[in-house]
Amino acid sequence: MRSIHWKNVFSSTALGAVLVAANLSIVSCERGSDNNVTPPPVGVGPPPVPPPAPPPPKPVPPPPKPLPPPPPVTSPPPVTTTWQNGVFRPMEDFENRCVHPRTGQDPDNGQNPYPDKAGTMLDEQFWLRSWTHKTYLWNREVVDANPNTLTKPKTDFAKHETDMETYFNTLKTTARTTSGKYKDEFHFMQTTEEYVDASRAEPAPSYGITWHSPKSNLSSISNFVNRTPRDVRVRYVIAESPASKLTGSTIKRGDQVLAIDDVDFLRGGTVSRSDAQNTLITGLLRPGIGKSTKFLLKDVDTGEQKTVTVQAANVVPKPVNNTSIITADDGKKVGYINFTTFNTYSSEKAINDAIGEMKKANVSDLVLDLRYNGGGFVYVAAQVGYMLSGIATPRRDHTGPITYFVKYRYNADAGTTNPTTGRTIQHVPFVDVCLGGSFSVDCDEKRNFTDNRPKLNTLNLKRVYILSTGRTCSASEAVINALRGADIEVILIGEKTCGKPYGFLPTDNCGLTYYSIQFQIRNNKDFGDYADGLMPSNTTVHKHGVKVNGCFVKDDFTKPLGDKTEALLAAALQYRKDGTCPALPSPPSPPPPSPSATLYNAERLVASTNIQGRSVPYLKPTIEFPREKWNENNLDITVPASVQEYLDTLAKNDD
Amino acid sequence: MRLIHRISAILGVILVSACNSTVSIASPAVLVSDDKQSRDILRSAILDSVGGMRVANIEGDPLVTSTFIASPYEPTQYEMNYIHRPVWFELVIRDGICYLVNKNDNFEVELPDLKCKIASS
Repeated sequence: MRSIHWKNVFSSTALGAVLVAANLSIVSCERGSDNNVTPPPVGVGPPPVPPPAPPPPKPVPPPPKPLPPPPPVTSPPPVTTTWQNGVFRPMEDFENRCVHPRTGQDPDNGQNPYPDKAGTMLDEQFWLRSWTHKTYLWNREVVDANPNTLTKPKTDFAKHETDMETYFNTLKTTARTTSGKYKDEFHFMQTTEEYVDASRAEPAPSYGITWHSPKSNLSSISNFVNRTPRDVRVRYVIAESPASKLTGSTIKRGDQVLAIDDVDFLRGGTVSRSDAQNTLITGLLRPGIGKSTKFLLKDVDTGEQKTVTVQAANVVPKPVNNTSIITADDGKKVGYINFTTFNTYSSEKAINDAIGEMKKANVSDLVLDLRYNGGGFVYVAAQVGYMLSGIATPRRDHTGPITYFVKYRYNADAGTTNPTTGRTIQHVPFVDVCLGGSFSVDCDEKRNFTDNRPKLNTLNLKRVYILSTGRTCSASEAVINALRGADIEVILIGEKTCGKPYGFLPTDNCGLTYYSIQFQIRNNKDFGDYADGLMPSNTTVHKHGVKVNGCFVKDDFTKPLGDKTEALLAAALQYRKDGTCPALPSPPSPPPPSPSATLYNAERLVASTNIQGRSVPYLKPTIEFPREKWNENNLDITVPASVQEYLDTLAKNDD
Repeated sequence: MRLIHRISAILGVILVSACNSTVSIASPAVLVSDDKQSRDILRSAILDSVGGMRVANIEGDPLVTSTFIASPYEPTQYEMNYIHRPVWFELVIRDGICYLVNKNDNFEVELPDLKCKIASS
């Protein structure tokens, strides 16, 4: 890691060398500079004064020597790797000392050479130990394990990764939340190559259908294969996608899949590596571009069977999938926005446009549907906070208190320093301007490279209705929590959210990227303890979590999203009308014994078996959503991580 | 006596000019020439100045405008509380030295080996 000299832009450290050389007192000058401690930001102050005369020419450097040949990967002087309980050397002592040092140029760092040097297994483990001690949020809850007792380095990188994972998995807290689940369910690692590939991935070909599985058929490959009859339904169709452009029979939210390309979807494809299984898996989740697939569906409204053929294409994500404006019983207009993700650049413009539409329609209230929004950019969430509430961001040259959208809390040893960057912790205020990203067209077009960035739309609401399920996660939960922290009333309608007030900065060392929880996000009132989720106040289904005023309502797949008779939206309208909630469903039947253990073991069982004749070492845990919640909330994702990894493994082997 | 008087005068001038230098103002700047070394220095400074962010793209022509935006990759499926955001940078010149300013947090890095000039408005 290269070091760099940082200093504040307006500090007066640039006193001329002449001053020092003349050995003059600078006290009087410093007094003068005190009057200038807060100059206007660059670009917005008075017209620039021509710079002083250029400094005297530097001495002519000696003629350059011929460049030496690139250095081979060498072993640096060894550092002490003797373990002493509770004593941690700086992680820099062990950084980039690798069992498998990478050579060549790092495409992820401006094509600079990889920083790796030859090292030992202990170097990598001691780095991990020191890094954890320095950056992990719950670093004081980690039992300090001696890496010396662990295995010797493997020549095979995959086996080395497994060994490192064994040690990495000891470097986390084992504490549990009130509900009994592990506090840290997000500990994870992967190869840096996988991480870089994932972050650069182009959209995969798709029909534009997101799937839902009440029986969790999509949560793991084992569930998909073994849990029959399968139950997979249409969650929603992405606007402007191939599935949205069908003529004749259409695909609707709630339609159930009965067959794919004439293969029985409910019970077929249980034989590993059979054509039938491949047809179902690839047909549902991994269509090639241009592939046409025939679906036999059970229509959600009529119960009748219908056949539709859809051709896969690259589908552009639609962060705002649909909006509607509803005239309420009192004649006022209520806006509805289905906001599905914060994790694309286009989300900034999409939500701003939608809010603009609501503003133009003069809505008095807004229902923000975050039920399938798993989070993403915190800065877009901070913008959404402004768009809803009108809470503005003070400029740098303004005075007065700042209302923060998110305050970051790092471990207790870090103080006011962000231990991952070494710089002062920067909390995030509510953001009222376009920030712009490479693909945020509207922001880019209007930007003028000054502090006067385009202002975002806002509805200036004092109360917001938010629709939620267990897939409402991370940055979505931050919106709910931040609004409450700024005294904006949130009415939560739906199911309990996922409970992830944490985050991390994936960090590479020696070709492995580690995800270790490093910060908690809290609101302006310093509250962020919702690891068991945020839940509507009248729920009797959920026992643990933070109650938020509102109504518990199960997700409703019988109606389109945005339809005022859809259960969650209808409940929001009812609450708005008279402050009441729909009747609660009858209590659920007792769960089967130890469902999470069953699921976990099922995955492990499959992992240790030959899947379709191929050896898969293990399926990595899906970290974004806790295992318990996969069962509890009947979750799935469009392309489940575990299934995706399985398919990727097959693809790699095919290569 | 004359010599002492002269030295005092010179020191006085130096003192005044030195004090004036503390109020020097940074001016928006652009690169002097489009050579690989300059762009490498600038790119390297940007990569070093983003606090661990992986940069997907840098927008802006440093020969024409003083401001650029370094954009992070979009978050992966695991990064759902993603703290990075586009970082706005400005190249400025002060006392003949180029500085790269991170406009999100007002920190700067000195680039003594970079050749830049005041940007024309």
